Amino acid sequence: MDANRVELAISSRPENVGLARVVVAALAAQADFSIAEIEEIKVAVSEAVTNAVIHGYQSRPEATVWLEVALRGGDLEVAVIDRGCGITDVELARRPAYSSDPERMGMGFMFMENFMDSLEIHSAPNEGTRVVMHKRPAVSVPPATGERV
Amino acid sequence: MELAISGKNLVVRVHGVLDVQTAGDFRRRIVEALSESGARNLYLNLSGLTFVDSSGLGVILGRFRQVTESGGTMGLVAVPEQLMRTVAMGGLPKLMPLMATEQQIQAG
Repeated sequence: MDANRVELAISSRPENVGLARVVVAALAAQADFSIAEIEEIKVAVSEAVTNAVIHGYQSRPEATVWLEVALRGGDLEVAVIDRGCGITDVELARRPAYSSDPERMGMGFMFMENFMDSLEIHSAPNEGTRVVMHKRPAVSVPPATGERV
Repeated sequence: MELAISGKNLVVRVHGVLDVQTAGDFRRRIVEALSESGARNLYLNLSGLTFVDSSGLGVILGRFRQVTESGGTMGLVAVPEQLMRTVAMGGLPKLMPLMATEQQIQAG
């Protein structure tokens, strides 16, 4: 099945994190995700884009964050890409207690891991970070087959 | 966001989104209100909250630390059902009471 795809290049600004959430949620709504699952997707997207803006680019609004979303059958793929400072130790960053900001408490990756089915982080210092997440609806609703008599 | 002070209690009614864009302003206004009112206890009424992520939960956890370190208590009121999983995963229910209505807040 051909994918339904959306690509978005956004300025690395906090006010665009909400925009990214809305775009992904609108595409996810075309699949059979429940309202609770769409909420989880929004949180995961929010975390990934926030990390790009705050950590990847360290608040440089002239930089660009890329969002690539694809819906293939029931599978939603979300990629968030920055060309910022990168993560030196990805395994360390994924630990729950890790964060350079004491009020964020390293919860971002925890939400991405728990609210999506899979999470991949590709990162290299001074090259940037690519976060790829997948999710399928837990309960698949069969397509409508017309009126039942 | 509306603030109501009653004795030693500061009740904050939160509206809209708590994310990286709004969390800083939210923190400043609560810190200011706590210091200006002299309230010891903080209750967040989240019935009007439409979205929260780790940036928002981080500010709530930061205020929990601030309030409890100065001997006060903190609670959450009317957490919307669709945000419950996020709030729970952030560990908030282990730290502070969750109340259905503001009437359940103990007089301060």
